[in-house]
Amino acid sequence: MVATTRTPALVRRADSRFGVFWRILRANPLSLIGFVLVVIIAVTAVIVVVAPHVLVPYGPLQQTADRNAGPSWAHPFGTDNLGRDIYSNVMLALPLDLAIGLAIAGSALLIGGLLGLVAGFYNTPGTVLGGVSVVVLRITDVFLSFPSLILALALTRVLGLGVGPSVLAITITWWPFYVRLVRGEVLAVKHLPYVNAARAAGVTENRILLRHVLRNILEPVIVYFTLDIGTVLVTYSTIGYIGVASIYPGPSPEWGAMLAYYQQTGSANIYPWLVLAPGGAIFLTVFAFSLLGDGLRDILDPRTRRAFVRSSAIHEPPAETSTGPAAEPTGPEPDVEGGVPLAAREAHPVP
Amino acid sequence: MTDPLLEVENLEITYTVGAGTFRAVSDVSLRIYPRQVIGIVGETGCGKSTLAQAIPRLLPEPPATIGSGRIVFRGTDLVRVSKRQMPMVRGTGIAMIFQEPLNSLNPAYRVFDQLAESIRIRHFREMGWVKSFQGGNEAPFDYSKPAAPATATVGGALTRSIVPDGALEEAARDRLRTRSEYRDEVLRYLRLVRINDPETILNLYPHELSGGMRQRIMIAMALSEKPSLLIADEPTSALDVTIQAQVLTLMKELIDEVDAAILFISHDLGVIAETADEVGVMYAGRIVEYGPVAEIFRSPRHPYTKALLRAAPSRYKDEGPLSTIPGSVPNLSRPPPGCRFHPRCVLARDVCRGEPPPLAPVEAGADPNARGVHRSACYFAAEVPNLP
Repeated sequence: MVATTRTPALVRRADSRFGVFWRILRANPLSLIGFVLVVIIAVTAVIVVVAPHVLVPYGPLQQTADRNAGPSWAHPFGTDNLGRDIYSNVMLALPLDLAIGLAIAGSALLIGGLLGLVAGFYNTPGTVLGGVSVVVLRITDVFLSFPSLILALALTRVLGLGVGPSVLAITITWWPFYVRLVRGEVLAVKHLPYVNAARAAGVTENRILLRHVLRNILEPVIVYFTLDIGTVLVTYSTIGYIGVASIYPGPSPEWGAMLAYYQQTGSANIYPWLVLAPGGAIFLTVFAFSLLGDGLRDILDPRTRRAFVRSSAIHEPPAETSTGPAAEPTGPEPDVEGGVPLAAREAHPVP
Repeated sequence: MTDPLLEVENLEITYTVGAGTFRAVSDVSLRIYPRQVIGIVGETGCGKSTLAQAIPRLLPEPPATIGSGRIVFRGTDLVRVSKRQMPMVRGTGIAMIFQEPLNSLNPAYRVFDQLAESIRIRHFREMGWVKSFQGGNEAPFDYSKPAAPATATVGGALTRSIVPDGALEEAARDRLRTRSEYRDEVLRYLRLVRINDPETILNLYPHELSGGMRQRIMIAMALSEKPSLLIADEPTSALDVTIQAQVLTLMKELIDEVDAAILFISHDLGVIAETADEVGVMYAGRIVEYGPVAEIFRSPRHPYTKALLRAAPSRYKDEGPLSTIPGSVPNLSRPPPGCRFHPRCVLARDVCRGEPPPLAPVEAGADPNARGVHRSACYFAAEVPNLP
């Protein structure tokens, strides 16, 4: 009886992965915008790398006959004093800026997250790892006592000009934030009853950390990470603006450096599109990731996840729910709302 | 005569908080035999939860310290087991149900995943894929001393299972199980704890369940590891009365099915009276009276027990205002000398301020080490029945 009957619960579970994701996004228009923007930005970046001629009509240094031209069909964001196409430069900068944001925030997350996990979980005084976590925290304090932008600038001066050294410099100043964040979250979670209950069930310490603690701090950390990509971009652009990260005009343009160049040469005072385009690109990217971060917060938390599914399912016409990847074998729609049978909901209402 | 499953001897536990030390548990001795249900009752702060958590070594150390004493579980002194090996004892050896059912399930996982983890832990240990305390015929630990327990000493408690293993489990015994095999087994345990519609509950998150349901899931998780000792630390006190009754009924039903000894901790005399075979009354970190549950409730032989019973409301007669025990629970950083109850005791005399009274048999000449002997830590136990 057990194995042979149909298993609606499991089918619903398979359905829930994408279906739930989509329903939450739909229930929350701003996250949907953020999600769509991030997808567009990512796809555009890939196209620029793989097939530049599709989106980038001119080379980064290619001079055209139109000088200081305003936005037009030929030059959507206008041209500068030597006839260089601003649109092409902004597009060419997109993959680089995106990669920089991901690389810095990603390596900071990995380094800081790992150290934060250790410092938060194995902080018993008198043990080897306890000693390690004290050392890690003191190093973190040293880094955090500097304003990170100033420290990154100083490091860039030491490490040299260019994209690589700048990325390294910002990463070095960036990981301590993740140590603090992750450690704080671990400390908050590790004393909760369910962690002790897992321990009582015979789960080993390492597995408790990886399965029970890490899973429960993932949500704030991923949200912070997504928001942080925007912050990193702004910081990198600032460093680019000051003129130590990237060279513009040059073969690989970068938004911050573009802003700096046109402002410092004075062209921006007369031809505002020269700075509006790269500035707008920075704004749009940061904005997209911020919105996505807010949306992820809802998706990752099982509580809000279910709540969203319910509220959206109630407003949904029954026909539309069958568009999910798996057909609902459980019969008529009124029995099931967002994967939870009505009977179960009535028996155990969720506030 | 079987050997005890768990033998706690002269256990001392102190908490170091700031400059002060609190003697939460002093000189507690306790024996639990297979298939026995032992209750520990006492006021808030008497050390009963500390005792419960100290047995599977779940107390955070520091601030807690096990000063002296032994916790011998199936022949091994758990006080001397290393932190690295302790997880192997927990779950399959000693399982625990906590007082906060609302927070004792991981909010990020569905019921299925939580139960499957317990089942996986037991399965892996049974197969010897990880070193196990309950490792079948092999000696479970590499201790040099004391000698590893012979599995024979605990008799049937090792081999008999709580629920008859399904054919699937037998088939999947010596290999990794598939998800659907885990699912069938999870469903069996959900049915065991009388959960309706387990196929649905399986896929729910803890926050979607009521308190009583969560507590049943906790019980199912503990049972799925087939422990030989189950410690239930106030399993019903966070639940409202109707749910409490359901969970208690369930526990009572399971006690017959489960082949495990149970240590039942509660501040509720009624709960203890309903579930336990023998009961220990704790006051200020000591066991002051111990004996078969009926005897303790019918004829208490310690003034504290007597006062405690008098303070409990009776539903049979209207006694006017409930009686209280004068004074308050002593500060455990500076416990009173001698018998800790003497400042509040009507029988107190000079001798009570000297040596603390031993937990001695009430009947003269009874063997103090025999099973279920009524014992009282009072010099004047004989006078207690004459108290109002």
